[in-house]
Amino acid sequence: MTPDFRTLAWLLLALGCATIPMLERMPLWLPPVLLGAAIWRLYLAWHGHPAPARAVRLGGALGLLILLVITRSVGTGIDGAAPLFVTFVWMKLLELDRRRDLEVTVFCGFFMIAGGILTSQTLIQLLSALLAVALLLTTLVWHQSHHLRELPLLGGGRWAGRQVAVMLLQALPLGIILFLICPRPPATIPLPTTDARTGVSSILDPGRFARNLKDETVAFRVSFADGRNPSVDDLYWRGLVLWNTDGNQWRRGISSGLSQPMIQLTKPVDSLDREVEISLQRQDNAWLYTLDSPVSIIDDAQLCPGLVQQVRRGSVGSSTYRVLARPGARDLGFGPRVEEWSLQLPEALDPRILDLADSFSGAPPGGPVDANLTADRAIAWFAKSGFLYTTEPGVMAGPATATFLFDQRQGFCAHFASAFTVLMRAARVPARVVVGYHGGEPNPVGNFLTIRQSHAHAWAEVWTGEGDAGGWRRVDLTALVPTTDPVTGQPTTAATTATSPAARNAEKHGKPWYEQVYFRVQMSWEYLEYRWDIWGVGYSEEMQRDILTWLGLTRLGRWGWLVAMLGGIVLTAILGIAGTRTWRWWCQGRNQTPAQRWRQRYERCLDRLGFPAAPGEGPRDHARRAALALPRLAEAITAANDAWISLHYGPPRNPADVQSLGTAIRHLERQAKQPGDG
Amino acid sequence: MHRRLRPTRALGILGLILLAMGLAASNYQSNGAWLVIFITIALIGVSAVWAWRNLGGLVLTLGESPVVPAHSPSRVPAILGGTRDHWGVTLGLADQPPGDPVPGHLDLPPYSRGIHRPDAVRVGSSWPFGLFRVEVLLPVDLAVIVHPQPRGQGWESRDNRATTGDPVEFAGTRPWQTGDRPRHIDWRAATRREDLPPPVKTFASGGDAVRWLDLEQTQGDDLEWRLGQLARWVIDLHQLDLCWGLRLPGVEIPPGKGLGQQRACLAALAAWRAP
Repeated sequence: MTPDFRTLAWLLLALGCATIPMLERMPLWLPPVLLGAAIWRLYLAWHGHPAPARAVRLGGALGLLILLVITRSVGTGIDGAAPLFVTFVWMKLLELDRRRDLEVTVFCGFFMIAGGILTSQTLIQLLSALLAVALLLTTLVWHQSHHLRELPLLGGGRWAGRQVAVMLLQALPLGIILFLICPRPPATIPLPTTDARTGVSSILDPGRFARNLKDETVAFRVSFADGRNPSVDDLYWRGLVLWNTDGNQWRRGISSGLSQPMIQLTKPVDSLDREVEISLQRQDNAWLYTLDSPVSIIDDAQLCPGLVQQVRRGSVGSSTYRVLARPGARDLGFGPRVEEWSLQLPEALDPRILDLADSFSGAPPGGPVDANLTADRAIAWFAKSGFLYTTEPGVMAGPATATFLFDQRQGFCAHFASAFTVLMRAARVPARVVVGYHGGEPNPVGNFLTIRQSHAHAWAEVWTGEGDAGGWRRVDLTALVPTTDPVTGQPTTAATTATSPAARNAEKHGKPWYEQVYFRVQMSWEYLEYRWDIWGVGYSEEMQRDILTWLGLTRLGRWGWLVAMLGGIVLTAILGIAGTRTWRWWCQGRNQTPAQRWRQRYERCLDRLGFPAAPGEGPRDHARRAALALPRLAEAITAANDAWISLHYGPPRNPADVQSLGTAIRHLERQAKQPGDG
Repeated sequence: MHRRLRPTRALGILGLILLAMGLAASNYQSNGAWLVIFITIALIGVSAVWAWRNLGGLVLTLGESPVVPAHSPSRVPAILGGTRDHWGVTLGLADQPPGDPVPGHLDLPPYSRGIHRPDAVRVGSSWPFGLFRVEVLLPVDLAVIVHPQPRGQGWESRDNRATTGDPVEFAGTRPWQTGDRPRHIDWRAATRREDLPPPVKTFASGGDAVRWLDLEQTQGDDLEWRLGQLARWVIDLHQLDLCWGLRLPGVEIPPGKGLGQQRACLAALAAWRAP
């Protein structure tokens, strides 16, 4: 049975919807080819031709496969498998010949949807996946209801779509319950994924343009356990510490496994520490972001020099975690190896830098250096030397640090942090560069902060010696330098950036109402996304255990839990069915005259006796048929029916006739209940 | 009414695909994929309930039992109704593979001569998703009259005199019966009388109006062939609107005309067994 044109059209629409999220993973030439083949198949169906011959189909599929291999579009993991799988499913459209082919294609579409979600499980992706599922199911319903195929495409589709929507609404609560309580099998094969869209790079290259600065993508969202957001000055999100420079670029420079002795975590103090919940978007970095400075280690993470917390193996992915942090606390980790790393300098250093550094330290070669004093002098020099903050400094010629310090004097956080650190090291003060984020945009809908890629930031830290007043001191020069050109008065930043989260908000409040509405909608959407990140993406075994404990199910043991779950499903189903029946009964009950309600009781009574009204059968014939078959009740049936007919079809009577109808029907019901031949 | 729900092969395929999705979801630790999987599982459950309910409250009304020649398929008008709509329904005899999804009639297979009484009709549906097939066996009261295949000469070539029939005279009225021609209804009288059915004018033919058909009139060794010849004559005589009677060994159908007479004769031919 070859599917007809309409069924194919529906299937094509549904598959197209399921394929859209995969588009970016496919080579550019593939979608037009597949769509063209599908349109060809539609054309064949339109003219009532069968599917193309087997040789043509096989040849086409083989050709596409060879093309995929030649263009190196096939590989391992989701990215490699996606083009192959999409090709397979779409070529199946050509083959579609029997009923089962259609079902297989639809189910493969399901798999495609799941594949799209595996690579990116944002809320928008999830909603589009549900839409695609609904469309695929609509195709199936369409295919299964023969009479629909006689209807025009849109009319029948709307009908089938409504059925599917109702079914989806009914399935959603059950699906969510299953999602919440069903245990997940553990991961068996860790598979690679390259869908990281956020995070800071582990290489800082001030000489190159940093594309992050205008990127509005959400990096992570943060809420504080006590509900109070700290001031902007404290919102430094620590990511990675970079130790090694070659004069242009900064790298981490140490292998990650280095650990324990040189690390000291400040002891938690209840009154000062803030508990932060961070919900990270998918990243392929290994490190986690914490509010500066963290005083606890994140679950399943390890602590590395520079208070960097990173996962033991693989990448972070998307995760939600909690950490205790104390704004203003300093890292106290120091040791010979850290000192060695934090004094490293590129081999060829501009002599001007060394001279400048010496002027800051003021100490003879080999003599003791006061780190705080040196840093303060350097900061003062930056403040008065005409430096300018700009997001578009242009390409710097020659060694980046020297060009920035002495020629260009314009740049963004990376330039300042990098140059300052080099200066400190030249002055024999241990220093390092920290990359992460600064600031955060308060969401007025939910009480949380959104940290975007545009909040990416870099700052310097200098070692100020042991003791309470010592530790690693943070120096962020970007706060000191002007962002407006002193000559032209024009802002030097292309976008309003990291430094002021409130600025974005305030700016939007001055805008016309529709932009404010848009802003509001955007914030609400982000709030939903945040909730989804925490409860959906971030739903963990611990949260599941909490829920099961809260339901009292963990005490039941394995089998008791299963029984309780099944019982819950049955109970939910019964409640749902009862609810539907009540609702229908209530809907039917409305807009009906008392006589019509009596009539329904009468029909239900005959129904129970095994004589439902046949289609097209009038009340008199129906009553006659039932009365003939049930001589014992014949009189009662005739009486009840006559009462109804005279009331319904006869001239208007007084309300007492309704009562006599009721009496007759109640009499019939009583008679029917009595044991007998009925 | 016996209703049965069983999973189809499509459900097996979907199960395999869900398993693969589950493997992928657990390897990627993707809660989003898990949510899609669980919603799909819930949808399977919901669709089973919908499929079950779809065939609830069925009422099958079949048309008049058909009269068909042997060894040819036939169909009975069928109305499938009930208190609500039923989707994607197929009709078929209980002991036959499911019929085509054509609503409006029940397809019958070719039968040999005789009166056949299929006892139940199987109504099935894979609606909504084709994951479950629900079937109901509905008892039916159906007697398929399978008369012998008409064979041999037509009546006209046997009896040229009778092609036009004799002049007819009015012979009173009687209540209308199935098969009476509308132009014989006495419309004037019908308007005067309130109750149905309307009166029909009957006509008496001349003295030689009754033709007797007898097995003896046919020749040959093959009994089925001879019965087929009688069937041909019965059909022809009805076409010519003549009056006839039928004699078979042990059976006699008194003379008459019209659809009822044809049906009675064909039924007799169908049921007759050599003594």
